[in-house]
Amino acid sequence: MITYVPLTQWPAPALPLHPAVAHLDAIGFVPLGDSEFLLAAHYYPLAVRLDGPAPVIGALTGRDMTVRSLIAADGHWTGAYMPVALRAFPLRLSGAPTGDCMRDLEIARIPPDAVKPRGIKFKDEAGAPSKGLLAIYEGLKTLWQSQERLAAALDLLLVADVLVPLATTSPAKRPAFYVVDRQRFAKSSNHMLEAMTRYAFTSIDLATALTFSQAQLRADVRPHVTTAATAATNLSTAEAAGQPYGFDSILPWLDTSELFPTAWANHPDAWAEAASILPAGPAVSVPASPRRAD
Amino acid sequence: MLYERPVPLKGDVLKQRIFSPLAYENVRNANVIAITAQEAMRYASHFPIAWHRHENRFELIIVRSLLADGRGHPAASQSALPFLPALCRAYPFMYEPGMYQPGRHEPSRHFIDVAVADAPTDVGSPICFPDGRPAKATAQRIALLDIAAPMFAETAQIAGRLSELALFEAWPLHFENIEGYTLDVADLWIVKQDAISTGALAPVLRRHGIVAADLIALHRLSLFRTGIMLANARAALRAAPASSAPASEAPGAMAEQQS
Repeated sequence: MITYVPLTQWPAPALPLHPAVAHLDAIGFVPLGDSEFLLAAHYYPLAVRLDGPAPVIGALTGRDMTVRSLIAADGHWTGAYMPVALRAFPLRLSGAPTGDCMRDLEIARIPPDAVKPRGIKFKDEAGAPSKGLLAIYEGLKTLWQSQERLAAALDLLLVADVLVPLATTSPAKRPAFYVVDRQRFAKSSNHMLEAMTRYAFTSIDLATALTFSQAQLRADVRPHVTTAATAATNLSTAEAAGQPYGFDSILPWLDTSELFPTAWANHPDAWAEAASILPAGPAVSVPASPRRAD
Repeated sequence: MLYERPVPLKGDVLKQRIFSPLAYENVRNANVIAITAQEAMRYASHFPIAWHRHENRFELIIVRSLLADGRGHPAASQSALPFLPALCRAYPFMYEPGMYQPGRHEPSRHFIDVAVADAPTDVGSPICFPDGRPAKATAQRIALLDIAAPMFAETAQIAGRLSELALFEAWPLHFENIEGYTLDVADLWIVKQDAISTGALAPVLRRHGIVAADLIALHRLSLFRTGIMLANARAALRAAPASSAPASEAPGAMAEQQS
């Protein structure tokens, strides 16, 4: 795990900042703001943390979670969207912003990377916070300010009881991450959905992003969904069982080879399957070997 | 657009042969195709999903490319039969034009688009056998239309409700100077961004439930594919200049930039 120290206690007046690319596994999870989580859902598995005072939605960045590599074999970024918190790394807010950027920021304690330091002086010649530092601070403040609204929307998902933990392989090392159980969410009544959106649509945006982005999640950590129900494979079976059926279950009927349901139609995780037919976004690169967490 | 010359499915037209949907140029190339709300899930990670406005009617569509000549589609998507939207899977069979509007659901009235299969992959199939029985390909595609008809009707109802509540705003999909061309897909509309932080959408979900909730959220997610779609168009135009296809009224029209 990465430890953070107050920026004021950092011994040097300037720090060669380390690109987050070198530390994605150690970082593990970055919070997302309300204007970026939909975009991030195309590139990262999204998850919710419940271990703090309020629920937080973020992007999972570690190789133990992501299906595709964010870093190319040569160490360069593959071009995924980079969330504000990742761009700001190794800086983050220590708590609610007060307006004093030197006091509000803390910095990750990581060894210097001799290969590609990116220098930002903390202060300009007059001793005031530098422009580079202020830009990072503003971004982190905006991120912080959107957390309250997002927490209220995430609370609705908690109350609706649609969040389930990921099947992580090392629960002792990490806090639990939660995603939406699609089958539970799909059972929401119209009145429930109306109530969830009475003041804002955000809870639906979040629930959908948390499902949609599971296509970016490694299969071995996807949640174990409780029901074994899969999309019914024909209309009469669906009606007899009282199940809603997905449109995707009809398309195998048009297979010129056979009229029988195919393995694809029976896949319980239809969302991930739909996304996996074609690569979405930047091409998947040859995965770099995972780096040891510092 | 997808359809060239719809005619009722009866009489002499029944003697024609049909081919795999991919044998038809419009199926491969049409850059704006209507979908059901239920299909949004499978396309949101690949294509922007929006509504195309025609007079006062809003039709849910995907934008597969900014180019109308078949280029600029995501790699391999045009040749993947399982990935085609329902209307393409059923092609050349189709609904009576305007059929799946609210209140006009009559599954027995089928039409066929009279178009040449310019790239047949096999000998095709008759539409019907001499004794009048539909061939398997015919029966499958008509069955798909029949099953999808109520989904198209529901999709149209959701669009109607969004429109009634003034929840759409125009989405000008217009780019200038892309390798010397102006790219434009006209008459596209999206859910109003500033409705999201209000309760304006709650009445839509009250009436249409999870289908509308999924659709609106997936539509919003899908718009982030626009940048990649632009990159695909740019790469296609850089590889070879546009064909002589003239600018037209249809969506996906492309005009050479006046320099």
